[in-house]
Amino acid sequence: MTYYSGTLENLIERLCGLPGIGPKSAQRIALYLLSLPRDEAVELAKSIVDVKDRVRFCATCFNISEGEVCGICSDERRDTSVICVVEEPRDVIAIERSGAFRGRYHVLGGAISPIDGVGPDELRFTELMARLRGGGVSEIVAATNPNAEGEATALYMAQLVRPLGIKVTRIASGLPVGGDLEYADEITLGRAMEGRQEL
Amino acid sequence: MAGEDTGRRGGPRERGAREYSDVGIVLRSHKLGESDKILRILTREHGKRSAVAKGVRKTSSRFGARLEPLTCARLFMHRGRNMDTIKQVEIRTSFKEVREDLDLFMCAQAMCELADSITAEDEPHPELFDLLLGALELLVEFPARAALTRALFEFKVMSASGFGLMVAGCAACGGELEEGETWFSLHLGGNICGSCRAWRAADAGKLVRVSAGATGVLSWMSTHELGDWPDGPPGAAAREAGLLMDRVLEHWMEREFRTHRVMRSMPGGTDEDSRGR
Ligand SMILES: [Zn+2]
Ligand SMILES: [Zn+2]
Repeated sequence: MTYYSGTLENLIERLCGLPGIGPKSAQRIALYLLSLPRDEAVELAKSIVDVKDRVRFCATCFNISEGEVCGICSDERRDTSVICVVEEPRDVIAIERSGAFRGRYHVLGGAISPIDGVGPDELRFTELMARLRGGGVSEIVAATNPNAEGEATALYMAQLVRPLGIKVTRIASGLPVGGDLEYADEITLGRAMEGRQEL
Repeated sequence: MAGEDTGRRGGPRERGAREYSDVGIVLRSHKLGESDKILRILTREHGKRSAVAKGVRKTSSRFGARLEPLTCARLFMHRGRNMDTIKQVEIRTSFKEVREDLDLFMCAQAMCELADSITAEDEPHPELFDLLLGALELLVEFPARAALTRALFEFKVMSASGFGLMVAGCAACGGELEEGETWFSLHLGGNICGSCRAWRAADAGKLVRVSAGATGVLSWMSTHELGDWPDGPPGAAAREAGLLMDRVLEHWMEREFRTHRVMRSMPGGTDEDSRGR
């Protein structure tokens, strides 16, 4: 069903491949872009190219970075003895927003999921081990997702790192702040009970 | 009057046909969009189903923890054109102990991959469901015997699918097998005797040498069910039988299992002796 010229159709098809965008939204966005003044459209196109050219993965932690090394890794004020290990760059952003962590990061690029064919070899464990062997690290925080795959990844990491004499900690699971206890599911509530602390 | 018109189009009766409830085990899940998941579920009465669970990746979701892989739950589903939608979940068994142990989790995922790959969507297979549920329960109860549980599960799933292994006599001539070490033919799905091996040279690449101990485990599996245990510690022989079962499955299904590949890539793997339980 090609109602549009090949050029417009091509744009709609490309927009359609973006996450969360269906054919209808793609069509609406394409027509909106068509209505933009030329220089605004060029600016948008240029910023896409810039992102591809300038943004890459940090050579140390594999977070998103504009240079060889990211802003966090090059920040002298941050604690170099603690590394927080996460699945994806967006997890770094989430933890940074909390302001609760002042160490450095390591982005694995996913989580262990054998049934999807993702094992340790598909993740950046070799790079993590190289960093740890470099010395100066006393604690690893496993901040992978609190789901089956994230848990498996944390367990594997603990097995791998413990022989180096480095402490491995896991972020706590519990109740969302501001909510009512009675609305919590039984698994989360069970975890919260297991992780109770003395007041 | 409202409420009387039950049989008409769009009335409660038609809606009722699109709602159903069944017990199911979550085999695997995929992220969908911003916060949803698509789950592959083995239900007892409705076979394997794909279902959308909306919003479960948000930390505020009450569903998320109830739909983790391996969970066995009563599900209330809405049948859609392409995919079902999960409306409500009541946990039967969470199997969290399995997810909290790397070896057990890998073992369980391998069993789920098998269950997933031998069933087509919508074809009820209650026997497979019961085998998987039984095997997961055994992983929780007897974690140190995970390798044998998995091998026995695989053996029984193959039998239930019409592919029973020939381990009592020679799979080629039906004759008796020699004592001790034997050869297993992946082509024939069974042990073969010395003389058959001698003139089936063309099969050489598909023959696996099996120790006397592992041969014993295989023949024990053919006459026992999940939940039975052999006398004495199975140890290395069970592990060998398990590795053979993996090869048999891959030969039978004509593909490499993803879980097997990941397990092979990891140091140690499911090792009964090193668990110290
Ligand atoms: Zn960095
Ligand atoms: Zn023979």
